[in-house]
Amino acid sequence: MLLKRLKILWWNHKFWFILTVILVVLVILSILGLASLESFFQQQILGTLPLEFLKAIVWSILGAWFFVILVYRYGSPLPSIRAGKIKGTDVTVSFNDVIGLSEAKRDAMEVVQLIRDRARVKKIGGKLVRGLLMVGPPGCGKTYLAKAIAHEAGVPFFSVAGSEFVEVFVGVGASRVRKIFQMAKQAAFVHGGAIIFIDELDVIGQQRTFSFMGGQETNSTLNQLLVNMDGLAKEEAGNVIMIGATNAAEAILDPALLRPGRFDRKIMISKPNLKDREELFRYYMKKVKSNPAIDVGRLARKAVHKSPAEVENIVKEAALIALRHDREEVDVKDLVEAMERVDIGLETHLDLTPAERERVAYHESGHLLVIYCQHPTDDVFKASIKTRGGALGVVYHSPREELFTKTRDELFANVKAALAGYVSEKIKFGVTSTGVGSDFENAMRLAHAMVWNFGMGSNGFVGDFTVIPENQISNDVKNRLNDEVQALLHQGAKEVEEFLRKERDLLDIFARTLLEKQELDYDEIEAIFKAHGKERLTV
Amino acid sequence: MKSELKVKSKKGKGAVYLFNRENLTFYLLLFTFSLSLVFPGCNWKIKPTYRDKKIASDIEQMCFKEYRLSVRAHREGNTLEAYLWRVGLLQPGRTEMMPEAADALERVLLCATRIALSTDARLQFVEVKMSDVLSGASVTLWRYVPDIRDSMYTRMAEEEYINRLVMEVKPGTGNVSILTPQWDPPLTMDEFLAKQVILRAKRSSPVSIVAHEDLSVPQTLVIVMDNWPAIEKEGDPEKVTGILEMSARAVLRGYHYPGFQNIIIQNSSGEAVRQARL
Repeated sequence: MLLKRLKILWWNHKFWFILTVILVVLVILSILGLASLESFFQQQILGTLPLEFLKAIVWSILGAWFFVILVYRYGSPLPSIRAGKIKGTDVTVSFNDVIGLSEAKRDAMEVVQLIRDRARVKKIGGKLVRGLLMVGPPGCGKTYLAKAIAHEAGVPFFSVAGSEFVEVFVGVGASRVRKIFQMAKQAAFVHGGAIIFIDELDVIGQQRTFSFMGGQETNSTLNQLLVNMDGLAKEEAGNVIMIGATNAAEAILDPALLRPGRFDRKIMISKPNLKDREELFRYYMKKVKSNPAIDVGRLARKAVHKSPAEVENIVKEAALIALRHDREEVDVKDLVEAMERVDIGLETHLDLTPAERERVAYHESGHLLVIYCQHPTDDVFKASIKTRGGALGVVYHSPREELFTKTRDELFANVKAALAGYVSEKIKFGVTSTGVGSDFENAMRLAHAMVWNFGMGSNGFVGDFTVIPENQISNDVKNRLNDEVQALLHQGAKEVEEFLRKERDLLDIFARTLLEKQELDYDEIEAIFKAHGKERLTV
Repeated sequence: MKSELKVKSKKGKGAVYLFNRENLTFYLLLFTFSLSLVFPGCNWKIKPTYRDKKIASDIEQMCFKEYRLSVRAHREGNTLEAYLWRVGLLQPGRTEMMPEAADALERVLLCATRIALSTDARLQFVEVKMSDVLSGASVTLWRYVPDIRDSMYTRMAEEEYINRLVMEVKPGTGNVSILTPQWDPPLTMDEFLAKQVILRAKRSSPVSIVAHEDLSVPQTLVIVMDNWPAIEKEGDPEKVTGILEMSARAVLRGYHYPGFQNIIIQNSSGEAVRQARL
């Protein structure tokens, strides 16, 4: 333990440790060296110490002053910005390669048109686009789209990450901004246009802070960026377009950056919808050898809320899994396994007792039945009693497509699905276990939100009660709201119990099958339900 | 308004930030600088490396340990004397030293210099004498200790430092006493300066000078030209006496020495050939 603590201390304060050791060694060597001298020389060294110290300070100040002069006059001797200039024609990414993002592509195409027909736009007095801000979650293709813009516009493309402007020395970031704009202007002069692409713009585009304790470097970099973007409007600036990409919320960016004249256009890039995901799976599966019989639609349904980068990763991971299993081509099993690795983690092989395994099987079967038969939006893709991470079992379900709102029925279905494990244990064993902990947490949170936030209770309360300050809401109201939460949970548990008791045979069948096979996938689940005349609930 | 509030709150917390990590470097520098002022500021004396009572044995040990030279040393008043013997001191038939002997003499002088610098003994002169065990010839060097310090502090040009070394060569008499070193009486400032005047004049004179000092007249530097007939015969005696007078003025001015008021230059018969007020 002590060794580990010492290691952490070393990692955190490595620089100071090394500096202290060097200083201590130097001091010891100096003392030893001084002691070895005769008294006259000792006296001479100590006597001239203040003068030597003063000389060192004066030389340091002069050196620093000279360094600053050099930096400002001839540019930074520090590693200069590595803004890669890429010719538009060298970028191989076209709009056809950008899968999905149909709306973003439309906006981008318009921008490309404006870059190409700048003279025509000016002729009719139209407004020239100077900046384009792409906002969206990570891995959704912002950089890819920017490359496609450069390719389609056929102009040089300067790509730089926001972090490359960050330096400990005040003024270096600003000088790098000046440099990249100068390079872009020159390229625009030669090629008729240029694009500057700053990835992770939030690194330098955050709201400026006005304090004494630092932040001047970021402020000065941003100020320089603002000034240069203003300069783009001038005739001599040439046809330079600035594209910024960020996955941070717009609110954290400095308002000055977002005003018209700087980033005139904003392209919101969201995660792909079902159709886009299908396209993405098709696109990436073309790049690996895969079974043509794979149901891409099902895969896309299963990959709700996955970004294009994640889809690509799933396909590549599946190819590795197929290789590991000595298969010639990627099959649906490999893709499912790759997706599960990402979503629910790897198996952990905990040794459960037979009684525990039986309890887990009934618990998961309860969830499975309720979700399959009673959930209006979700599909069950897998049920498993293999231990993964901290979970003893799992029923893997996800919405058939991304939903941006949820109805009372859908939320209540989630509550019921969460309570199903508890009810199932109660029906089979008469007593429940601690395995219901996380389910209760989910159910409680949902029911509480339904009553307190969304007015979905049945006692007539309407409104979001969480916005009312604590001291302005009466205990009576609180009690009634909480009673309503309990009523919802009781109602859910009651309905689930009625349903499971009715489907007791099916519950036993699923529990037994799970104990036998440990895992059931989509098709196996479907087959058992069909054999017993049950259909998925679809709305 | 927002920024003003922030500034205000920072000001309010000023005391908290006084000793934070950002200021650590500043305090370290301040501490080092203050420490560097302590020694000279408090006029702190470092313990002398060579103690007053042991300097004679120290020089003997140093010469033996560092150069394997067997030296006898002796402290007499304000003079530290070192004595060593050698077989073959001067080149045959000349007054120039054998190179090995010159090296040994230089090394002993270096040891004496080091000791004179780092001792609490109130020394004014260091004297190094080398005698030839066969012929009895001897070479003696004298250094004025404040000259050594001035040289170390670069308060004196190197050429001047060399010029201020007093050297006396005595040819062999055949009367050799190996076991008992012939200690000279402690040198006085008058003697040292008189010897230096003669030596400097010898170096700059176009004709050879053989002379000795006579300090029997108070506040008067009397230099007796032992080879006066030869000087008269060789050329311009006026010029030679002029060189002697100029040397005397230069030496006395260099040391700011008020002990001599007059200079008298005598020929070998004791007649004053030149005299002047210094």
